[in-house]
Amino acid sequence: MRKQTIVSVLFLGLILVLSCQKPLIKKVLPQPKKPITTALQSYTRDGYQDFSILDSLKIIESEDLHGLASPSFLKYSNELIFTTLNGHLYFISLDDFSNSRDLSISAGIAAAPTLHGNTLYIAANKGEKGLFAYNVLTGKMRWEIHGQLSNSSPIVTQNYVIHASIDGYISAYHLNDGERVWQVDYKDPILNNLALIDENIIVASQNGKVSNYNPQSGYLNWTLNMSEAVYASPVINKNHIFITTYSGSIIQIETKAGIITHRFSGKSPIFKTPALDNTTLYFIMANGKTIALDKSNLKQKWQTQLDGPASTSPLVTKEEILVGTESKIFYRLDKKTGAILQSIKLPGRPGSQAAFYKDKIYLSYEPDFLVLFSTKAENND
Amino acid sequence: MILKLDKTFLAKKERQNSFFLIILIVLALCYDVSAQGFNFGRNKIQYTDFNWQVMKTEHFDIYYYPEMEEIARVGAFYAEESYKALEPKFNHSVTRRIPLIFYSTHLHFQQTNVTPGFIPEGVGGFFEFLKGRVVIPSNGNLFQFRHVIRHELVHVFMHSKVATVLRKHGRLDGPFPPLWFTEGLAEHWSAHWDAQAEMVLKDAVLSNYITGLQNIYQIRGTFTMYKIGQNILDYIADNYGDDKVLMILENLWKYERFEDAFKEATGFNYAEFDHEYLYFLKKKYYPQLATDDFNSQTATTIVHDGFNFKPAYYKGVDGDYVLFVGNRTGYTSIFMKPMEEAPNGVEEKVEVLVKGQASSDFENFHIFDSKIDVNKSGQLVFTAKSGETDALYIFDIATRAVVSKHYFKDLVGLFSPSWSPNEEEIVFSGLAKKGYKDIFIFNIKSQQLSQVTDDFYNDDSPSWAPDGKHIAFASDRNAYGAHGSSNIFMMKKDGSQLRYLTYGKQTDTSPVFSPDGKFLAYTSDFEGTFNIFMIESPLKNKAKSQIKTHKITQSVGTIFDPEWTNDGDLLFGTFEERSFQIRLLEDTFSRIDSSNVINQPIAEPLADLWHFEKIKSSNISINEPYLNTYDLDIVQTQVSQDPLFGTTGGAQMAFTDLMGNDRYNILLYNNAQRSSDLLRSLNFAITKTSLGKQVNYAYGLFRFAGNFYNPQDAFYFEDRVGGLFALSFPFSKFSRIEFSQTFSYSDKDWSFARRRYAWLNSSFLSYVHDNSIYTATGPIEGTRLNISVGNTYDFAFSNVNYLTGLIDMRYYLRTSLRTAYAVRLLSLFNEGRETRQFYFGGSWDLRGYPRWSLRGRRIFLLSQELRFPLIDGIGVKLPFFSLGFSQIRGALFVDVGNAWNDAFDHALGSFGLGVRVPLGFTALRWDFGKTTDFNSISSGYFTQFFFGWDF
Repeated sequence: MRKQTIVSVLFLGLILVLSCQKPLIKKVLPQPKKPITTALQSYTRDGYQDFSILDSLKIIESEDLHGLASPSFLKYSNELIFTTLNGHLYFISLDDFSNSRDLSISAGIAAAPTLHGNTLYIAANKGEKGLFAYNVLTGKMRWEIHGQLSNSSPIVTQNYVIHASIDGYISAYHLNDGERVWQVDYKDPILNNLALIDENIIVASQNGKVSNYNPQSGYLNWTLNMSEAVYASPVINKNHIFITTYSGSIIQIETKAGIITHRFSGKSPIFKTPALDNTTLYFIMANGKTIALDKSNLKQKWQTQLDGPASTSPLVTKEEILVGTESKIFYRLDKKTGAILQSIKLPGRPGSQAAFYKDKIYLSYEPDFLVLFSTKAENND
Repeated sequence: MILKLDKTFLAKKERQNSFFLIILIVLALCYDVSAQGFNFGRNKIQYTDFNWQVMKTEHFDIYYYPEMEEIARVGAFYAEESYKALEPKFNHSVTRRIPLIFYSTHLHFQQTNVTPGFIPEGVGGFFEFLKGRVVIPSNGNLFQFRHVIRHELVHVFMHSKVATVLRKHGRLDGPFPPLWFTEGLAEHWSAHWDAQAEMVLKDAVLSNYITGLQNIYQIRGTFTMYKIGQNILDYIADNYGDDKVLMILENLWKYERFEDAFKEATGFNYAEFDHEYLYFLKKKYYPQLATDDFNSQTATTIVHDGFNFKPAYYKGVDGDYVLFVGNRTGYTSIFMKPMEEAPNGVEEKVEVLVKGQASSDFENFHIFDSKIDVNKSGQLVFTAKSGETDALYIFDIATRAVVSKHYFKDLVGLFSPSWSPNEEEIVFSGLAKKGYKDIFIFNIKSQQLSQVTDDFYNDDSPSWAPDGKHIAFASDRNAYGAHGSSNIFMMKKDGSQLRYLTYGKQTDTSPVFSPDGKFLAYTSDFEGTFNIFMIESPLKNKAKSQIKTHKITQSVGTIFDPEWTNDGDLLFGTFEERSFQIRLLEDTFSRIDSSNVINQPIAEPLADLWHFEKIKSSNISINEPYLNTYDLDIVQTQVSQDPLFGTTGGAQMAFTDLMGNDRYNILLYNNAQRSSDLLRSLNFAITKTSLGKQVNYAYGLFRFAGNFYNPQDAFYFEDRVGGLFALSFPFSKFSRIEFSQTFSYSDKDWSFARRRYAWLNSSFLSYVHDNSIYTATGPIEGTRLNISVGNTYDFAFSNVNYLTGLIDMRYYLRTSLRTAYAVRLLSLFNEGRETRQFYFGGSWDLRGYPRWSLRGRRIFLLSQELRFPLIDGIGVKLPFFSLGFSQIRGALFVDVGNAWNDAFDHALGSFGLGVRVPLGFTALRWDFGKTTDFNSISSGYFTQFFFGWDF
């Protein structure tokens, strides 16, 4: 009898304890939609998007914005995201080209934002704050960094966002709360994007210093002083970095070792980041000369003359190069020969790298327009 | 040549007649007038009938006239070449078509209506912002033409770039680059650092007036500022990269101050930059004093004060003299002075031999470009602008009189005449309408002109050899001429046996033979800055290896225009301590033995001459006559509220053609006080003004209706509608006749129940003369005269019929450099039916009496002033702002006059002290004194503040 009582009490006690726990409800969290981004979101900065244009471009629509769109566009869900030079953040519906969000973030933004998960990391180059983390779903700022004004698109790697300021500080901040993890004083202005491949962050500063840092620790792997001004972002392709200079040179550097392997000498400044595909490097000099180099040895493949300096970085696709110039012309070039396939005169200078989505190409032009071209195209993304 | 500026902002003001103001004045004369508002000013005359053509290239619309088509094609090539060069430097394309307006000579250029103002000699071209036009003269030197084209296109690109940068970032305006940067950039990206630039900067450093960026505003607008600006950008490019210069422009949108954009691009604020840059200059130039000397230390100063150029030696009966072209008082003139040392700025016996810029004979002497010469008989030969072109003058020094004056058909500019030894011929450099400068010889006896050289090379500074058979001259006819170099050449007077005396990439100029012909002196920047060199036995046609050239001077300051005296000394011009002096190098021959012999390769025979490129015809899309096209220049609207007359609102617009020759003005406003009065109170005026020919004319229609008040008529409403015609015929730069004719219908309705209709015919004729020059507050020398007479009558109802007369004479006697005695005689009368009254009194005429407190149909005024400098500069510097004034002047005055109707009663007067503070666009006036009716003097003092220039 006593044994039975004890067992019953224990059994009841067990039921009581177990029944006081919260019920286990299986919750399926909504997965963040994978962002489809345009070329410059690639941290190698290669300016490549894998699609083919099958027909001529025709302008079908244009939208009047509050500013000129900064260098490149992102696509998130069914919206096109970009910032403008006067500090606005835009979301444009890809269905009907309507403006779904227009926020004033800061007084000036030069670099394209970076999207990671549901958060946009935006670098500003005027105002009090240099870096913003914006939650795309809630529409609220998660955190902001004072100072550290920047012309560079942030790079997200593991748990950090890497940010480079104009006055030469490279910092890593926690994604969640913006707490600084490490900082390096580069001691030279950084006016363009950093590049990243594997565990190598590549910096090229205004006065020609090129360095390789470990993104987790901020440790310096190597540094090169080229003594030539650099205004365009470094571009990385597998084992090599390509740096373009104000004197018109293209310099190929081994990524890991930091050794200069090849050099091409042009005669005119290069201000826009070149584009790279599997075999070839494409760039435009400030005198409008457009050159294709074999990326393995920097031997010239072809050159062609455009009307004026580039106003956008080139976008290279499966067969073509798309680029805008200061003379208000948007060009399509055959990337094998450099032949001009189409040139479209616009009312203003193109301001951003072209972006492609579903038979449409998006481009901004001065002073504050976004234009939509239609074409037949094949997307290989 | 020296000091070719591209924009010059003179301290001295030249007032120009604005013909279209005549329209307003004519209309104003129909109403009440004040005695101040009469028109003076000099005349900008369009002598030449330019048959404008337009040539369209890839980026430019080029306007030229047929005589200069070849130069226009060369300029078109240079323009497209510059465009291609500047695109990568600015990383920018100018996407609008750029109008370039070319002239073949500077005298033609001075006639342009693209800018309303007068163009000084030193201005080499300009870019104007309204229509984005670039206007450039060629003037014979194609290298200089190319340089100015590129310089002005830098301005075009910079303006476009700044506008684009600001617009891209959503800014309507921003910190526009300061003048030192805009002009410095234009030189930095269009020219190399040359001897003239070195001259200016070196003098600034070694004479201790160099300024850095912090204080560069103190020399704003000066040539020194331009060159410091250029050097600063050269320094930044050399030490930090030329990209930094572009980055300054790219950063402008971020800031309110230019200095902040400068700092972001370079890393320096102004103070930090000056600390480094000024030290760099000291390290560069101070060591030069170990080997080089100031001319003030090694040569005798003959002429010191003012700006002095182009010395010529004259052996008079009573001694040696130097004649020179200079500007000491505001008028560029030819002066004569005994060849004695001028100790420490104290000069005596400087005589004005030929006064320039005050009469139509001697409008200008080309102070930078044209030498003068005196022969043994004491005759001076010089050239001067006189009317449409230059004239050659022979002037007898003993009698102080012009002996003869010569014009040459097809020659616009005449430069640097030189006497032949037998005094029968004069050789000079002549600039033709087509724009090329060649050597000519004028025979005085036969009056024949012969052309010795005939090509596109810039031939200048001819000098006759003592043997009478040879001529030496400077020319760019060598392999390096395209890059601006010039060498010395010798030829026979018929142009044959042309050979080099010097050869190389340097600039050699101003050759002059010693009296015995054994040496030829010239100046050269062979070693950086201009010094005197001498060639032995220049008349002997030696093999090139035997030509010996000696460097005679080792000067810190630049030397130019050497001139021999009979004793073998050399007079020369020099730039030191911010001004131009004339000095004497004595015992020149004794310096030869100790001088350096320069080894110069001489190319023989003449070989590898440079050739210019022209734009290819395939690159010209259109070439056709210019047809007037008009653009809107200005639109201005205004609303004003008057407690008595109510609200007036309106607009005015101005359209001009590309050349600025034709203008349409449209004025529209309404002063209705009730909606029912809208039509009744609608006012308009439409006028067309034509300035393209020597005779300027205007015509138009108007309607002026509204309520008016004056003490004579009390309140009345007048509606006047009609048309007008006016013309202005200038005799010279200084005098003109003006005529205006107005027909109108007038309906005048007084408030005291009187109404009058009239068909009015109004005719006015004026003679105006003005050769005055200004200080910061008003005229200081010269004469102004306006005599006008007119008649207004009602040819339908005879309700109105009056005669109007005006005489306004003003004379300014310079008593010293900065003081003057000024006297003004003004008389006005109106006689007849419904005559208008004149209003009198106040700061602008009879001082001491309230403004317009006196009135009558007749006015008389005699004003006298003694004008003097009062305070040269005064300022207050507070922590957050500074305030300063300079050139404050004073005047002791006496005024006598009155206004009356029928009988003159008595005169009123005033006397006292006036103070004038220049504000740039006007002057602030304060007069303090006493009044009198000539029976007694007022017990108290009056004080009057107002605005306006001295009479």
